[in-house]
Amino acid sequence: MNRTLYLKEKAFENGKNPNNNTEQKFWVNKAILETPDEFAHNIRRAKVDCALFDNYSIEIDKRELIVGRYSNKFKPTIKQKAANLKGTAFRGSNSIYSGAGLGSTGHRVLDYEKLLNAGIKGVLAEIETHLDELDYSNPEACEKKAFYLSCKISLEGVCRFAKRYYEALSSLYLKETNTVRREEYRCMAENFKNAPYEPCEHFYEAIQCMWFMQFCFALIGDLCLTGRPDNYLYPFYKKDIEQGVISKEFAFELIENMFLKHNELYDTWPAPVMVGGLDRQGNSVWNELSYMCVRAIETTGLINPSVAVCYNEDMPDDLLRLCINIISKGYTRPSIFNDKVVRAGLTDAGVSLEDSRYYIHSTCVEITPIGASNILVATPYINLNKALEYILNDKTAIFGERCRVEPPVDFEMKNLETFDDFYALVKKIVSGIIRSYLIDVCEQAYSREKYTSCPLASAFTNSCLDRGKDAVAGGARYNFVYPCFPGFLNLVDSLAAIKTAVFEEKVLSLDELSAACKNNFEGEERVRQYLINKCPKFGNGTDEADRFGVEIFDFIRHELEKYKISVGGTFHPSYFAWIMHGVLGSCAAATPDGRKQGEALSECLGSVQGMDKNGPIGVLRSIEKIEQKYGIGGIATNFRFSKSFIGTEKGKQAVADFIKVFMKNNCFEIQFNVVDQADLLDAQKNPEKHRTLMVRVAGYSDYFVNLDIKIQNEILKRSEHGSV
Amino acid sequence: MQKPKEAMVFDIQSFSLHDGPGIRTAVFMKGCSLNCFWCHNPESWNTEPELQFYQNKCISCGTCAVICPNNVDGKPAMFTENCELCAKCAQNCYSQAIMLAGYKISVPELMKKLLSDRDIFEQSGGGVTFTGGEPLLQGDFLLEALQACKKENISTAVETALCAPWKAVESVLPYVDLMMCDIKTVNDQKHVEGTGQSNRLILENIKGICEAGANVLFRTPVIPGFNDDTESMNEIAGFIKLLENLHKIELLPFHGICSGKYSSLNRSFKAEALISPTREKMNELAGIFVKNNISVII
Repeated sequence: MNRTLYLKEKAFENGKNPNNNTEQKFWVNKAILETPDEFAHNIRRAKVDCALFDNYSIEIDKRELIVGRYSNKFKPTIKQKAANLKGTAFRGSNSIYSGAGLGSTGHRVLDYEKLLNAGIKGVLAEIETHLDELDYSNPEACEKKAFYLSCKISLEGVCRFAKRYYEALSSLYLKETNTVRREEYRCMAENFKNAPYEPCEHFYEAIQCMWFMQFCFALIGDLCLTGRPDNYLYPFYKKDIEQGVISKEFAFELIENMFLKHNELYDTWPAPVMVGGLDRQGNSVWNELSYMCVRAIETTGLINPSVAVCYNEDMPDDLLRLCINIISKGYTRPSIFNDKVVRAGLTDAGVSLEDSRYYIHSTCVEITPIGASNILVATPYINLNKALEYILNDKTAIFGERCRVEPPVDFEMKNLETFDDFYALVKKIVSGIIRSYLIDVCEQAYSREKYTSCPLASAFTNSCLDRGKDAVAGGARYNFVYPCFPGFLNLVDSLAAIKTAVFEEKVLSLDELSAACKNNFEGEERVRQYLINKCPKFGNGTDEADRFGVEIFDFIRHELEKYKISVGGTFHPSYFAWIMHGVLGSCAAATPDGRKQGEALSECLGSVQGMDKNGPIGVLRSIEKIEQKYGIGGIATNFRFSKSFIGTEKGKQAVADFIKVFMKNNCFEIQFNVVDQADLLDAQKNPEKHRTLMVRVAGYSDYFVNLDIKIQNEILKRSEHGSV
Repeated sequence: MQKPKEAMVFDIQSFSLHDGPGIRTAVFMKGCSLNCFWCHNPESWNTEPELQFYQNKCISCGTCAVICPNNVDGKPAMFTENCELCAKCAQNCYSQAIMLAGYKISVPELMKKLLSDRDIFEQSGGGVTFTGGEPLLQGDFLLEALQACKKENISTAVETALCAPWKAVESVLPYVDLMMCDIKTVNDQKHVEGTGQSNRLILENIKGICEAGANVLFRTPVIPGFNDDTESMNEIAGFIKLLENLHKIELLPFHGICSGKYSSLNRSFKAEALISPTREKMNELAGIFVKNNISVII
């Protein structure tokens, strides 16, 4: 078996049976018990992190080229277990190890240029200078000092960890009898000889250094992801190729290894890799590594990483065709982002020109500037359709989750004489729902600022060192919060349906609609069919429904402008769902657009599942009316094409043309499902036969058989284009 | 001012890839001069709107029977001689089990639709395709619509069986970028059997448009037992070779996925039992054209 296939099997299995964290918990709890006198929570956190760096078992697979993986070897003794329990209890009451991540962990990318080009040495030197220059007439001096020390302690811990890897690899090298593998061990050890303390010199060293750092972050529970490797790794690649240090084939194998490592470490957590777009200076980045990262989607063939392409007009046609080829085979990636729209949105939100060029899609579509962010993505997920339940059921929820409206809105349903009355009331309640949730977010962010820290991540997040502040406490340049609205389009379609059915055609009264929704359309199937088929729907290019999409989108945006978190971050909306359209849908009543109680909500921008009757162009004509640059929290638009359609040359060309028009019309992001209905149905019956059948869910990709049945059914309902 | 021309259509489909180059919008016009037994658009035959009923969508609410002015024994008059095609049943069928195939659209309305997709046409090299049915049967509308498209620089194609007076054909030619013409068979007797009409006028019209220098793509549906034999294809190839300019031909394999439409119209599908030609068969037939130096698409 060739190495890539071997590692693929291994990564898939390791991902499926993830390490149960036994060893991590053990060292963390032990360190917490051993540091009771440390008054500064960030220094204590750094020391706890170091307990992992100094003790965590090193495991190296016999064929891998890039190292850094969880270990399952560790078995605590009975005595150790007892001690550990105490630590667990203590940890529960202490926030040192919880809350720092919250919406940011697993969604940020650090300043890898700094790591690779200055080394930890460079960062430590920067810290020393700051410490030397501390101005003790400033009342914040001691707090800053504690911050710098926490970074320093963490960074030194990482260097010791790297040294342990160097020793482990060196000893494998000495013991290995196979000459080929022996030479590989020598190179692998070499990667840890200088880096990460010293700056990197070679491609192999740099890719290992980046992965090692990512592993360190995973170990301490502060996931920081790969980001844009075709940008920061390219100078190393170019130099090594020019000097004949490595071959292109070997460089590609390393990319494949790195891709597979994502599956091992993160399983199905969508870890982002983005290629193309611009560099910080504004030059287009389309190089050999961009192609390799797209090609590796197919050659590695697993769900991770979540590869995206950052489209601009310089994107080479053959790369776009390569992307479509891979999508057409059912790999669900890459997703394609519209660079010009994203950049416009970021600068509009106050991001500097340089930083606006260099961002990542977090996991799904949430836009996060690289190496400068403390962003709360998808915080929280809000189902605004609860506003309709509030009106139709006398200020309380009809089903499931309660209606949170702050302050409560008073009204009498019988006084709603015109649609405008009704619409104004919906907006007022939506405003109250948003307020209720965002007050909570503001409080969480405040407690996070005061009581948590992430010293290691802060060392690579600008401008923490300049400001002498942790990333969660105002050190990061960008502190946006992205509330996410699954079911947005159910609300839009419901408004259109109420306008048509209740106020214009008078097919039923508000009271009757209320009864129908409360009874989940029991005995009212004809009414439900009217709401579905005879009322306008967003996603068909018709103004009757689209106007509500545009208006509610703008309304939400302006509502969010009323809030700010303690470190100054502003709020921006997200329109995707991850898996939350299923979760929130399961505790939401029937909606006036004809959706039944408990069914999944709409997942993205586009249309409610199956309501796009005019094909992909109809969808485009609706979504292009929305000013999508304001959705830097992330907007996903899913299209589903049949294999027979996109499998033909003409189909592929049409998709390429469609993508170009989509981008020209300032839409945010496009992602594809190419999977046959029959395969999905068979996978529901015989999951074991479809272990790696992939689907796009609501922003990210997952194995179909992993998904909750509600989400599986939601995907089955989506319109498949070009099936005839 | 003259009232804008209207057409009776049964569908307008965007993102169509099967009706000419690029991404196209296909305008399906109602009414046809032929009656091919394999037809996959049976709702195109009549010039007037007609009812379709899809059993699988019916929720058995009974509204259609109540609302029908000519109902008999608690049943709607649909598909019986009592039906006056008032379409009240379709209008009140919220689950869309009963649908009315056919509606009128004027040239300005159509142009509004087409112009909104101009960016797609320009990017993909696509445009509009008038198909059906037989678009030439609504010649006045077709001419005006084609002229309007040319004025807006939208690329045009017409899919036709050419079973229409030469005058109608000739008048639209200057405004058509691509004529997609069917040749079902060259054998006249067979043509009568398969389509209910002689092919003399058709073949004359084909000669005419080729002499006029039109850009032509021939299309032949490959129907098992009707024209899927060497002799039929040899005849077609022979006919094409004698024409002014050598044009391409596309062979379209028969498929029976339209049988649901027949039952929705309460009609029987005479080609129900036929099986689609295999890939090998299609390749074999295509070979005949290759031998005759005619480019062939399958």
